[in-house]
Amino acid sequence: MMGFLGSILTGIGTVLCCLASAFSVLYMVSPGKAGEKRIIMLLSAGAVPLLAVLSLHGLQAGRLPVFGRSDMLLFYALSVIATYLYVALQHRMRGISVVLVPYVTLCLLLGGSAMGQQVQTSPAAGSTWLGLHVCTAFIGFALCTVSGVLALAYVVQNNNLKRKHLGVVFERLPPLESLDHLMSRQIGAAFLMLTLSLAFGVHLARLSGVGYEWVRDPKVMSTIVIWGIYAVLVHMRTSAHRHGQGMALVTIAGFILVLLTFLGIHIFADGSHIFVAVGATDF
Amino acid sequence: MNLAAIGINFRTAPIEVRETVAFRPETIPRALQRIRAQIPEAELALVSTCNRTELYAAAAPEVLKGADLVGLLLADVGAAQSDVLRPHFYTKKGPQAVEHLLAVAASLDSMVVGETEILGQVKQAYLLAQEAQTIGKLLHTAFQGAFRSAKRVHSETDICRGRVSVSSLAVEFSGKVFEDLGEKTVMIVGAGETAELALRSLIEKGVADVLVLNRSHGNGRALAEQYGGRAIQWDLLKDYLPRTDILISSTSAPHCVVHTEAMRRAVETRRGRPILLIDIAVPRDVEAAVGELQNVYLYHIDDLQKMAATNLARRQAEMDKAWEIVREGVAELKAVPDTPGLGRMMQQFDAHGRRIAADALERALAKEALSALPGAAHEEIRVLATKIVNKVLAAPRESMKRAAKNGRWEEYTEIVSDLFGFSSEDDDASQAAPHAQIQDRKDQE
Repeated sequence: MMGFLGSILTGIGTVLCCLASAFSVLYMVSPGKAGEKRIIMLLSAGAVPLLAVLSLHGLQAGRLPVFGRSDMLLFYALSVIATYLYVALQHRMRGISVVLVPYVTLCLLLGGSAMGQQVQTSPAAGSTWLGLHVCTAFIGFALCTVSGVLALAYVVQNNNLKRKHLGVVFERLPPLESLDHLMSRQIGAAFLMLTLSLAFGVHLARLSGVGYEWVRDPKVMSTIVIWGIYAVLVHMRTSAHRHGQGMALVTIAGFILVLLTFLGIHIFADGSHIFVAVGATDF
Repeated sequence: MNLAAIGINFRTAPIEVRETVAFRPETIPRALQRIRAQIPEAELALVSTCNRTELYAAAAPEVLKGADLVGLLLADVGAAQSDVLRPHFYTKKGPQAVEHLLAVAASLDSMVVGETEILGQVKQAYLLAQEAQTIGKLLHTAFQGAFRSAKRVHSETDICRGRVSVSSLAVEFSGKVFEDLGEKTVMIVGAGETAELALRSLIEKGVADVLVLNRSHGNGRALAEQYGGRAIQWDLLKDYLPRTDILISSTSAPHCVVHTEAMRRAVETRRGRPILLIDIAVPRDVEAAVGELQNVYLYHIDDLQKMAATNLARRQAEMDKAWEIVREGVAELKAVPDTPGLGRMMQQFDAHGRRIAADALERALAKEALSALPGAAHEEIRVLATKIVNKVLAAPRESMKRAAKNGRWEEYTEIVSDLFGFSSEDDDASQAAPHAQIQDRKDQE
């Protein structure tokens, strides 16, 4: 019964997000006054049943619903939606939906396709530290995603201004400086979340007694590389006061690494760390 | 619709003539009342902008035929000058006048097609006419129709899309590069007219910090003082480049004044913060290679003129669609019954209603129980009685309009006149108080 309800709710949420994607593409290509309000409303409406599904899964499993491809993607997609809604509503940031909303929808579709698959987790999956480690990592990835899309918008708008392309895309995208400021904030927040996640991860490794085994783990390594890139970006922006196209390109590089790490390792490969044995008692 | 429009605009009259006939907003109500005193049967509105002055009058055809609207509008300028100005005026009547009003509001008749300022000016003209109490049912309908069709033109066509002047393009680019113009520094190099226009537009958008660089320091200082900025010595250009966010250059120098090397150093100091350069000088003031530097956005006069021409062409391409909407608007207004005698009958309804209310009130308030009430209560009762009468008469009024629209006017006239006891004497009574009709309508609303 719970499975059926979950499928129905996921279906409703995904359909609403698909509609939001269609409208966001239309918004960018049509010169009319198709408002982004509609996209925001559809996305918000879609997020509600998806949140309900995630909560159901959590209640059912008695742990945070962030394990297994389906829940992981759902959690990540919801984090991206929440960040986007904050950016769109708080900062009136329009235009980035054309990339972000279809991307989120794709994640949902991928997640939906893995729904119902058996998820094997270690007994430690219910631990608070692991929950904090995974949640902060996913929220950090979501913030990296939004900052990457903002950086992409920056590069496109920069190109429009340089090449004097004054089409619909030029009109829809926000000013360069707004994109730069917001990118800066997202990077700061992403760095904070990734730092917390790494700290929780290290603490967890110590608790579980795996020693320094995690140093050889590709997932940890790629996350540390991402963390390093974001550390450099935060330094460049806060201490060196660097802005502009160069910073946007580095942000995009960070975002591509997030995609490789998250989608590549978490989704298409086995999402666990190499030192975690399913069923292990401590992790 | 019995509407007439007379006026001059940028096509029929040069600026010297237009400024003689222009009205400031605060003088319009008085001008309307002065003209109304000459033709009390007419509804009037006056649109006056830098590009046009137009008087709209709505009344029975015989009233409009007999009135010298141009003469009435020019009453204040003296007979001799009036004769000089007359040839610049155009007159439009009936559907042509309605179409003209709709086209003006939709900015199809503007110097810069698609500019949106004119709609606000037409709205202001309507409000000023209301203030002068010279607007009645006919002009109200015509202006509301004009607003509706202007909104449709703005939303359903691309006629307002894209800037078409150098100064507005400068503002548009600034808005696409910078978040808050209030925090930005604008440097004007040279004191050309277009640069000044662009500066004025930027100041209107919030720019507060203005630097003026001119070879003649005196001229630079004068311009700086005019816009609350600072004049800078010519040889300090390189020093001030790093702190400049928007540079507008329009010198008459025969060579470039902003060089790549100086700009590269400025860009390094700015650490990636963008800088917008608008070079409207011929020959160019800014080296072309400057535009290739990262985070520098350079626009020459040719770029801006090309964009303005493209936008204007796009607007022109939308003209047919926009005119189609205007024509639909005119057709809608035509569908509003304009049957001869309908207006008179509506006035008879008004007069009849007022008479009934007045008689009933007179009798009621004479009674001891009500006569003792305070004045405010009497007023309340009066308003209530008027509202009741208006409500009762609303249905037959609407039926008459429908009958006029459906070609059953003759059939209904006789019956309604018989039912309500309308006679030709009522006409005189109804014509006597146009202001009272307006008041009644306000009460109804």
